[in-house]
Amino acid sequence: MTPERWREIRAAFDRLAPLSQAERDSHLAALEVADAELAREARSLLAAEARDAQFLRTPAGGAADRRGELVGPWELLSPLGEGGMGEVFLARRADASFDKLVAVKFVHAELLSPLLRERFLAERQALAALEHPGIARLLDGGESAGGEPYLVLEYVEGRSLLDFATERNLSRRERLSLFLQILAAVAHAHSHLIVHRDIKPSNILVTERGEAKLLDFGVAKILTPVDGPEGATRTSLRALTPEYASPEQVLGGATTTATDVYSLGVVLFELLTGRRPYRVPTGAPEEWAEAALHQEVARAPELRGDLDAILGKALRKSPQERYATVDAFADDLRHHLDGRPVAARRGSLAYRATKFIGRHRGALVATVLAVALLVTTIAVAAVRMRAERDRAAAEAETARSVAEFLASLFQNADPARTRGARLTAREILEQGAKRIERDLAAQPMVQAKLLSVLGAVHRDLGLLEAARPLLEKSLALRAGGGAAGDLARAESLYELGVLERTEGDLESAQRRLESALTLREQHLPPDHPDLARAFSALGSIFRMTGDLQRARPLTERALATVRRSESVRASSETGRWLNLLGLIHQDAGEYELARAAFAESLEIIERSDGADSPLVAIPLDNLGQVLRQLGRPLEALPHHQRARDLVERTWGVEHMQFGTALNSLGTTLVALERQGEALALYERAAGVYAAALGADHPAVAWPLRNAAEALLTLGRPEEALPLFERALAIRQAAYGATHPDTAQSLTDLGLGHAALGRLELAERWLREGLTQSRAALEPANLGLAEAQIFLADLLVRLQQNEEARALYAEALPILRAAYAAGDPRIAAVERQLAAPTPPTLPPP
Amino acid sequence: MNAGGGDSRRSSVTTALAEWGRGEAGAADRLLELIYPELHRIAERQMRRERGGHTLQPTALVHEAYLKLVDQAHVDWRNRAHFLGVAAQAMRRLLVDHARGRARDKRGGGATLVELDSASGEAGLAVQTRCVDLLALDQALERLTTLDAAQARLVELRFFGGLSVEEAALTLGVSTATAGRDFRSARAFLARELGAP
Repeated sequence: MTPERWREIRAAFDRLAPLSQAERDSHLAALEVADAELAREARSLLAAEARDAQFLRTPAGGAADRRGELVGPWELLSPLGEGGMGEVFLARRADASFDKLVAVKFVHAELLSPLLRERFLAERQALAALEHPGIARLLDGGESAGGEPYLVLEYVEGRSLLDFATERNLSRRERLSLFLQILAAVAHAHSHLIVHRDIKPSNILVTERGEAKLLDFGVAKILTPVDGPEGATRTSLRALTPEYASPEQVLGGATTTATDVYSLGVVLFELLTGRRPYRVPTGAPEEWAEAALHQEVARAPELRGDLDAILGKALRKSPQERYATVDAFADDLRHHLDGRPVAARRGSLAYRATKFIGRHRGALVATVLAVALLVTTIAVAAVRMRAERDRAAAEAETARSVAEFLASLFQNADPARTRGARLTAREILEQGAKRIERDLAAQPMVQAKLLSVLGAVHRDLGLLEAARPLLEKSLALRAGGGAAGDLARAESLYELGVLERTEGDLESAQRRLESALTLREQHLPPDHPDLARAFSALGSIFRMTGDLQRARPLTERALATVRRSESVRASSETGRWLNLLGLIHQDAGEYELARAAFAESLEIIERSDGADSPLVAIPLDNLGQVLRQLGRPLEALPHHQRARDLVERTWGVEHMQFGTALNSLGTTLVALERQGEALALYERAAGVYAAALGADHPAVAWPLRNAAEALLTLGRPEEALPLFERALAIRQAAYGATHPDTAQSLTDLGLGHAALGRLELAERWLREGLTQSRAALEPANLGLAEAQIFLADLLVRLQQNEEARALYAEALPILRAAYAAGDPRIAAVERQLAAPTPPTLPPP
Repeated sequence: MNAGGGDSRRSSVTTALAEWGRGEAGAADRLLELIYPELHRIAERQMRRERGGHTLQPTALVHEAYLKLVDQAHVDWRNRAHFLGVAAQAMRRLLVDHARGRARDKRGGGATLVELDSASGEAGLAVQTRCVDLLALDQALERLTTLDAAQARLVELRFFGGLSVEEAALTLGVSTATAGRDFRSARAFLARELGAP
């Protein structure tokens, strides 16, 4: 062989070596034709290499002694031991720029895939930010020149937790207070949205002075395989420690702070009893995994009462049933130490959830709902993605990161975090946003997805200003092409559109939503729920602009789109779309259709979210209103009473929804001729709206004009008139002249003046009201009939019967379409049409 | 032997390293001459200590020599790589000489096996000990030298000197990617030369 020939052989080998076996075979087949000898040489080299993967890999003398070796900027000093991941060395900074000793941890290369390496880089910064005396910091990490991934951790001199407890012969009380130190450290990390995932006694060192320190925070996450090909779960079990792994880890599910709560439970059990909470025959990893999934926690005689209950709660199989936070876990242990009652014994989750809702009402409920909904959405998306093999790896990674992040957000927004320096939901969101910006720059797909999700959550919490930059950044990041890029962009457009709808910028919202819809129609199957979402969002925009002719078919399409999917059809989202459809019917004066839609919406939301969900109040209120409009106020009344109670319990008395519930109830009382009761409700409703939304908000006009109307009925027109005027002013400012509500206020003012006997003035207002009603309302709208009848009544008083009759005649078909045959309101107009009679004048 | 002797040897090695770092001609040879005797001394002492032991811990030897011969305060980590590069050559010579000696001692002659990763076993796990016929490896390396001297040198650095790819690349003045690739094909070549293990 000549050096030249060797160079050719080497080149062939270099090309072939990184390939898979199948790829090698096909390349070799091609090479065979061109240069059979070269192919033979390459094949024999590949075969020789394959025979012994370790050949010459470790230097003469052995791998254990790597003292003095340089890994990145770190110089290895002496071996510290062999961890589950690989060897660990004591090391120091070779250039002496950092004077503390560190532990360099090598990771078996096969535990790290390229995707995981990427994740490692993204995580590293977040982990390095963890500063707590109870946490050994992650300082650095990377890959040695030889391709071995490594982590650099703060070096802690201490004994492992169990050894320390045994050697010092600690009392139970001392053990518990040591454990509380550990909980404080874990809680700190959780507040930074970082989950440990591999808590075990050997990861907890206790120093000479009795200070506990957690090692390897977040390291397990770096090592947990993503939705990869075969063997993912097995690898994760290998990398983790099955004795302390939670059921969700065994199943390869999403890990959250509840995962740490579980592992901490196992550690505490062992710390207190010297045994593990499960019994297995041989101690094989599979047996521990099986036990975590199915075995009951063993009874320990030394753990009767509180501790038994506390450990039972920490070790629940279902993450939702465990302590919601590490702090709650710690609180209970402290209560136990202080002899106070512990939550685990009396407390079911439902109990605490009720307490929580009682305390926090609106905001957090909304967050929790929004986040829960999004998690579900993403889970569904992840399943779908897995089916598409080619794109699967990257997208599943995105979905998973997002789901994990949300899960951590969800955990941190938990109700039980109420005492001390706890975070509000808003602070958690802010932190989340910062973390996304800071840590995910290397993963723009994940970053964009999370920005979009977080922007939507901010928006749904009413934090509109904070929502906008997040959503805009998300959109800007999603410039990629292809179906995936288009769909990602559609998502950002959609969320922005919904934001702008909330802000009231309907034109821009419409453009965004139409773009989103176009992209989704291009790439999604016709029954995809995202398509339905775009349809319904656009539908609601058109409803808000009063364009019912476009709003209705869009909303109906949204519903038709999901009709075939049982899960979506039964979701509260479908309930919301039905509610929107009901509103459109109601706006169009088609009350019977509206009633049916609201009733179905109510049923779906009650079933999907429970009868006590605040979401139930919305169709409930609407159903009541439409029943009243249908002339069935007695049926409406219980709906409104239930809605009011529900809103008071969930959103609270300061929330605008409470104003709505009061206003609706008042209106129904009016229909039952209980004006006096209604008046008080209207006044309170106007106060709630003004405080929640501002005194000039159009919502304030509703209870104002309703109160005025009640005052009119009660024969107090002097008091009514200023309220009508105020309502008109608010509506004109908010909506302009041609709007159904402005038109109503014009007519209202005419009624007020008429009641005061100022008939000419009244006629002017009533005519203006009718003109604007014709412009703003559909021909079948009851509001139009009202405007016609009121003007006609006045004209009768002014003895202009001809014109009055014509108006009654116009109104009659609208009434007949809206009300059941024989309705007294129809009969009254029929009488007027036959023989116009001036209404009895109110008492002077 | 007194402390002063050790110190003077130490300062000459340190000086030679610095010269080599500056690229001065002949510095590498001077280093080798300085390093080899020290390595030999350490090796002999270790051999005596482990009575009947026939295994050397070359990497440990090299590092021990480094600590003895180089003034840690006056070199940076690059000097260490250079030192190890030279030491690797010295170590190869030493190991092969040692193996030849043992081969002669052995009844019937034949190859001597040096345990390569005796200490790397994971606790509690049975680890297959991999051995390499050092004399055969030395000869195969000679053949590789005629084909690509830089590759042979790379193996020397990695295997006999215990250098990481990064350090070896630095010593050879190539990129780590190149060093990684070169090492892979060199390994394949040597594995084929040595036949089935």
